[in-house]
Amino acid sequence: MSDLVKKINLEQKFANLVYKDFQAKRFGLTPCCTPDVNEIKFTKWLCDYQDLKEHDDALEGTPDLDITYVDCDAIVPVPEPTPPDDIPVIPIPACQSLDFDGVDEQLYTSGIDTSGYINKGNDHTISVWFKPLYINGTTTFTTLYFFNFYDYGGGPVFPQGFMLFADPNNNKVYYSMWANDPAQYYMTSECTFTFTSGQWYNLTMTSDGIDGNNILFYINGTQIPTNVLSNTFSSANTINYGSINNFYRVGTQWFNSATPTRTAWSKFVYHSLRVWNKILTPAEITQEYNSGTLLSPAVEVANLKVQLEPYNSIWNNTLLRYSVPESISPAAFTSSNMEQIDLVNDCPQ
Amino acid sequence: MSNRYFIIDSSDPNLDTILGYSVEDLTSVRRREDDTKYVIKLRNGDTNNYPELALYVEYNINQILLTMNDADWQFDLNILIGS
Repeated sequence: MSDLVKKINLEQKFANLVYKDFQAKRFGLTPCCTPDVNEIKFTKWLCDYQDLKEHDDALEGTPDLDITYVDCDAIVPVPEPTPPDDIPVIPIPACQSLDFDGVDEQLYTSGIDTSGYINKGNDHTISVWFKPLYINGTTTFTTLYFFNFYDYGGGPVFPQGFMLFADPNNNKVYYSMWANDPAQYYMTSECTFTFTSGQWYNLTMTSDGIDGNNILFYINGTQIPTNVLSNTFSSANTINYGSINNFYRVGTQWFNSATPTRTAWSKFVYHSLRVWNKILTPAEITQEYNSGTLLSPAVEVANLKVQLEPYNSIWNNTLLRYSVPESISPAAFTSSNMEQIDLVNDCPQ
Repeated sequence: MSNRYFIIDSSDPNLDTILGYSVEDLTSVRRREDDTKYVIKLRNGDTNNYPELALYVEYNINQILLTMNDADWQFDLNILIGS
C-alpha cells in the first residue's frame, strides 16, 4: 500500500470517527464501540507531522537546474509611453450602445462648447453611428435626433442652435442651423434616404456653417445628393451658446422649462458621436465608415472636438442615470429616464 | 421584465403620488401637445399594482408608441426646418 493510500485511509477513518462521535452525542448513543476521538485526533496529527518530515527529508535538488537569483528591489519599472500633448488618446470602444425607447429617454449636457466650430461661418463635420428601430417594421412615428443644441427661445425670441436629425416617415435626413437676432435666420438642407429598421448606419454631415448648398450628407461612406430648403443664414449674428436653455441633446429635441418634453423622441440604438472643426474629405469619411466599431484612430484627430462614448456609459445606482463620457473636452452627458438595461451589447461591426 | 406605461391625466389629484412611482419626475415625463396627458413609466421590474393607476390603461412599449403616433403627441417638424 502506498503512502498516499495510507493517508487517505487515515483521513477517512478519522472522518468516520468524528461522525460516529457526533451521532453518539446528538442521539444519546453510548460510545461503547467508538474509540476516543481525541486519541485518534492526536494520532492523526502525529502521522501528519511524520509524513511531512519524511517528505522533507526525502527532498533532493533537481539536477541540471540553474537557479538565477533576482534582486527585486533593483528592478527599475519601464514607464508607459506617453503621446504628444496635442494628440488625444482614443481607446478602442467596447461593443456596447445605448437603447433609446422613443418615449422619454435622452442624453443631455451643458459641459461642452461648440461655439468655436458649430457656428455661423465655421467648418465642421458631425458623424454618428446608430441603428433605427421601428415598431412593427414600419417608420410609423419616430424622428431620429442625432445631435443638437436647440434653444426654443420661448415665444418672442426665435429659436437658435443646430440640429442633425432624420424623419423616417418621409425618408429625409436634415441638418439645420439657426440664428435669432434680430430676426430668424435658417440654413436647412435635406437628403433622401430610406433607413431599414435594425440595421447599423454611419451618418456623416459636413458644413461650412454659412451656405445650405455646401451641406453634404454621407451615409455609410456614400454621398447622398443635397436639397436646400432654406438658406437665409447670412446675418452677422451667431448662435449664442450661453443662452438659458443651453443643453446639447441626443435622442430628443429640446428641454424648455415651459414645455419640457412636448416634442418627438427617438427610438434607436446609439453607438457614438464624433464632431470635427473642419470639413472631412470623402476619403476620410470612407475611412471613418470602414473603421466600424473600432473607431480608432480617428481621422484628423487633432481637429476632433467631440467624441461621445455611449459604449463607455457608467450607471449611477444612486441617481439611476447613466454618465456618458465625452472624451475630448472632456465632459459627460447624462441620461434621462433610462434604465440600466438600456446599455446593450450591440455595436456596428 | 419590460417597462410598464400609463397615460394619465395631468389634472389627476394623485399626480404627485403617481410621479413618485415613475422613473424620474415631472420635468422629464413625456407630455401631450395640449399638456392634458402625461406618460408615466414604471421602471423595469416594478410589478406593483398601485391603486392610483388602477383606472388607467397599461401599455407595453410597442403599444404606447403606436398610441402616441398622432399629432397630439408628435412635434411639427416644419417648425425646425423653416418651411
